[in-house]
Amino acid sequence: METNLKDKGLGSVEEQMTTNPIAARYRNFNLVDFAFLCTSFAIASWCLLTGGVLGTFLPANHLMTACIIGVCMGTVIACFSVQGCTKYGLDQYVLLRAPFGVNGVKFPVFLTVIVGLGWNTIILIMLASGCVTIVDAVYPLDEATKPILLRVFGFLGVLITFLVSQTGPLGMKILTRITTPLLLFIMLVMFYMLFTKVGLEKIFSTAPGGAWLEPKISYFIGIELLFGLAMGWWPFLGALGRLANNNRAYYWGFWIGNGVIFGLMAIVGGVSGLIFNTFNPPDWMIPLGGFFLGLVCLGFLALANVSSTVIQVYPCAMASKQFSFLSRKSWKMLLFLCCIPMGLVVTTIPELYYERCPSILAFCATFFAPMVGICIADLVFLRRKNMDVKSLYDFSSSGKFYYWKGVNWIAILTSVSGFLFYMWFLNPITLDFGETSPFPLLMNATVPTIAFTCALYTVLTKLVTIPCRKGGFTKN
Amino acid sequence: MNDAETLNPELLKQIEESELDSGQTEVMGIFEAIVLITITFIIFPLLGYLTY
Repeated sequence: METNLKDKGLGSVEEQMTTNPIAARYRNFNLVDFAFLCTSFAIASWCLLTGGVLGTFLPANHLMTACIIGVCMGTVIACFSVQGCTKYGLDQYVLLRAPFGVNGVKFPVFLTVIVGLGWNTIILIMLASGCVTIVDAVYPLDEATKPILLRVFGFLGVLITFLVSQTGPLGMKILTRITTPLLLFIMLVMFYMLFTKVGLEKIFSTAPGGAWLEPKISYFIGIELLFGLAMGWWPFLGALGRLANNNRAYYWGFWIGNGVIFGLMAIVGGVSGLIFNTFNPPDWMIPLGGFFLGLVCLGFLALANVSSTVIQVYPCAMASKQFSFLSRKSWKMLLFLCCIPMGLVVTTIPELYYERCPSILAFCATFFAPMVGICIADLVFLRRKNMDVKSLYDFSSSGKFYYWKGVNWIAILTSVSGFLFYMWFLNPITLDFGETSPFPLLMNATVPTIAFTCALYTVLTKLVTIPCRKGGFTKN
Repeated sequence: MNDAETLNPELLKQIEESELDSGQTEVMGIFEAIVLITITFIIFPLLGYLTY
């Protein structure tokens, strides 16, 4: 892969960060390679955290199925929406110029950066929390010192992320090679500990600490949150998907790595969260693993957290290149700008922010489910998967994707309608299902939102965009 | 606009290659797609229903 890229003059880190298409012949990630890549991307500290969130309100049997169902279904739907990235080797935000316009693409980019950095901040606080737990276990701390130390470790986490992410894909590759086996080690150790120290009987008989009154609602909220997580993959699918050499590798790779394996790993975090009634992995690692093993696992987890934040900062910085005022900035400057908001949160309100982790998951679906619906309508149904790649790079006012001053307002309007539609079904902050939902029996917000935005975008495009001869639909 | 994204000859060449190769990337057949959809959207939810 690197040799081929070098042949094309895409050798250095800066050059690999361009948004030019990569032809299939230069992509060497077959199904096995791509499944490994996706697994490396998916197996990160967020497995334990997401599963842990579900463990606080779901019993073990519901937790196990919710983890697999939600993430697998969501991943396949999200993959379906941006399969053009694999077909043409395009970066996702280049492909999104077709539905959103050459300037309008800044809208999904902005949401991606916000959610990506928001999620990254959670991981950084988990890193800091783990470090505080390690220090506290070795030298017991008083309650007043812990919040200060949490902020100090959080800031150091941001600093390390900034430094490591400057190495680009090579650094990510080395880090994931180290942290993926370490995380697998943690999972296996914790899995073993759960079965030997806790036992199957206790696992399946433990009632969750914070369940909703109606078990069915808890179950569907669990599935919905994992759907939300899968929607959270969406902004990053294209950046990885363009490396797959065909759509078989793309679909099955994501399904195996980001779906099944992620789900299995989340189950470990979930069951531990259920037993210890906390979604924060550092809180249950020492009680479950014992002093020495718990500390070792916490150390590994801290390293894995750094890897997760680096993996997430990369696409955020990449996406921010879509803003003209940032496109000429150096890679280092882009990373620095991405690290500023994370640094601010981890040093000011880490505790408050960390408590809202389930809402961040729900917000992933609130923001990205409408985007998925629009992409399915535009790229799959209306354009029938055929893309005029040259026009994606044409910023002139006569370009196909110039729409109205570079923005497809139909896509923006549909997205905003989709956000409101999602919140009509499920409030992402309070996670109230049923009371506000227009169809209380249909306990899912992501799928109805995707269907709604897909239909709305198709209708509005046929009524407005195509008659106005915008978007290059007429030739299709 | 990004410098790399002006329609320079190098970018045009890469676009042509990308469009030329796009046919090679669609290798997943109907049967394979049905298997993926069946497992994900029928078997998994069914398991979820049975464990409820």
